[in-house]
Amino acid sequence: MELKKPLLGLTLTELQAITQEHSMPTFAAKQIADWIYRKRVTSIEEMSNLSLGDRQKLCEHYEIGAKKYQHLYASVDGTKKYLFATTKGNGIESALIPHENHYTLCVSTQVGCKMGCLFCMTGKQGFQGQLSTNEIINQIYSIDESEQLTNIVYMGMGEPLDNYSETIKSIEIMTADYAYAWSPKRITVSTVGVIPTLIRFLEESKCNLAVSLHSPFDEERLQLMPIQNVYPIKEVIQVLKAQKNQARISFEYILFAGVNDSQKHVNELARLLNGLSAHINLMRFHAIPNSPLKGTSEEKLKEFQSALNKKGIITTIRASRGEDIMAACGLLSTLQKQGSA
Amino acid sequence: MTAMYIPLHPLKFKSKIVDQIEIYKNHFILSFTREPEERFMAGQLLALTTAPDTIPPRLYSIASAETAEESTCYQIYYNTTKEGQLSNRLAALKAGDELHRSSPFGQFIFPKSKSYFIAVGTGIAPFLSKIKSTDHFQEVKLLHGAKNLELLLGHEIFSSKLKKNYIPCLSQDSAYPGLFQGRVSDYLQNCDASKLPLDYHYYLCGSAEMVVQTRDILLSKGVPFNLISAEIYF
Ligand SMILES: Cc1cc2nc3c(=O)[nH]c(=O)nc-3n(C[C@H](O)[C@H](O)[C@H](O)COP(=O)(O)OP(=O)(O)OC[C@H]3O[C@@H](n4cnc5c(N)ncnc54)[C@H](O)[C@@H]3O)c2cc1C
Ligand code: SF4
Repeated sequence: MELKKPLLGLTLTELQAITQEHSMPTFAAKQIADWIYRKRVTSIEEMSNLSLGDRQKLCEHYEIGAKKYQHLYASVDGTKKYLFATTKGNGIESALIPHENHYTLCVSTQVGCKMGCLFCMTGKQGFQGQLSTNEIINQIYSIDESEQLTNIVYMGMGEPLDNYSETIKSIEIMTADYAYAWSPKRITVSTVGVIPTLIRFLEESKCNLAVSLHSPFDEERLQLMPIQNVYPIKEVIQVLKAQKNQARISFEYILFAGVNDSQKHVNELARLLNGLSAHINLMRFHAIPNSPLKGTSEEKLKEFQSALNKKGIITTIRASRGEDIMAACGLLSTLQKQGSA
Repeated sequence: MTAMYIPLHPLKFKSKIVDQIEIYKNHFILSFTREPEERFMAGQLLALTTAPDTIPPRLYSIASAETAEESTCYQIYYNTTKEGQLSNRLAALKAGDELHRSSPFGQFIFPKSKSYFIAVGTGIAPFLSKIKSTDHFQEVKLLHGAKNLELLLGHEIFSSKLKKNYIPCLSQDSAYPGLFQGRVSDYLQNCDASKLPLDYHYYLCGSAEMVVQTRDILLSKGVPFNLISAEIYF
């Protein structure tokens, strides 16, 4: 039996290809998009402005394709972690972070990851596969707070720019008029700096960009992030400096005790980012099992922030959220995978 | 005015294929021309493609020597992947065909002493280049994993140059009882921590899964993280 294909996650162009293939009117593609993304119908039968015949044709090969989450973990601080099963049977995570009247969802783009960052639990899974646009959009569509979401961050499992085509399609669906029509300013894509797709992203998208920096020193960053071998941070910064709209760029910097939290690091960061009007998000390290890294103390974190501020670098200290439900990227699904191995 | 960003690894060279050998099912050594004045360091990469307008370049570690008899050619060691866009096209190349490539680049470079190399599969390429390029080694170890002997590329050179410091591991071939039977991770897991020197630097190369697993074992055996560098074939 032929498996039905999901409509959720298709762009207008892809929907147009379907309507054309099934000899449906051209405007039907927009109508389908409206039913799925805005009216949130749960079946093709409900698309009442399509002719009965067209609905039947669609039903033969397609379904809406939304999948409910498998598990939900709620933290005492309001953070929630949703676990979804992928088509291939793996587990992926999305974290919902409420803050005052904002709801930010951290979405995954890959099952596991190929980048192997030393501080990351997802990296420990190795790479299991790319998520489809359907699986990315489904995380946004199928959580309980879907309609209250104010921001999306592509900062869950995986490197979004290593799954470029699906990431960019999901951004199109979030921002295009035919679907969710969000402002790109509400969306942030986080990357370790895969330069070829980073350049494309900067050209093709107006969303915010967060670059994982974590050390301004080549040797040290290499030990934390193997990508440094291929796409060194200095080259990434060179790409960013050529950007006109630098306001959408920020950096992520996790502080590790005794590793990247000294005055020497502050000085080198100031040198590296000189000429770039971007700010740094300082982050506490969510400990992961058997890690050789430890988080910097609160006192040192504040000192580091004030030293950066003195150099004219704007910083924010990102609040730690959901530690009781292991909200750090990939912790739950990796432990689940290791448990089943 | 904002400066224009110039891509750092443009495909500025066309190389002619000199030779292609399938050493085992779907595993190839591809040799292609190198400009006479071009220099590189073992461990560096090339970005290459057969069709720059339609297939974005992929990265390959250089497997040939920096110097000596291979100086007129680059070699890469690659395998085709199912549905892989470029690797299957590379496999169809014949002597005289052309590919488009960058200059060598990358920072995964190593000293010729106090280095502990660990590689699986095509991840051997950077170390093969290094060992072919060097005659006198001081305290260099190589832990090398592959499914079978045919895929243990360079094992004769390694055995002759590194002697006892070469540790081949065969994960799916029990025909050679003298060699370690199992994966590199099994070898390390069973290895006494005292055999993992703390005055060496560890260089790992291969898939994400292999690198992450190997790094975790080394860490669990007391090797500090700042002694470990890795190249991942993502
Ligand atoms: C630093 C570095 C060094 C490297 N060095 C080497 C080296 O020395 N030797 C080597 O062999 N490789 C090396 N690689 C890997 C290499 O760059 C390529 O990624 C690899 O050869 C696969 O390229 P491809 O074009 O065949 O596959 P791609 O087309 O890029 O596909 C990648 C994977 O996705 C899968 N895929 C493709 N299309 C689909 C689809 N439609 N649906 C589902 N899955 C799909 C493929 O099966 C494949 O496994 C290196 C990578 C890096 C980052
Ligand atoms: S931090 Fe991001 S890029 Fe690095 S291993 Fe984890 S998921 Fe991958």
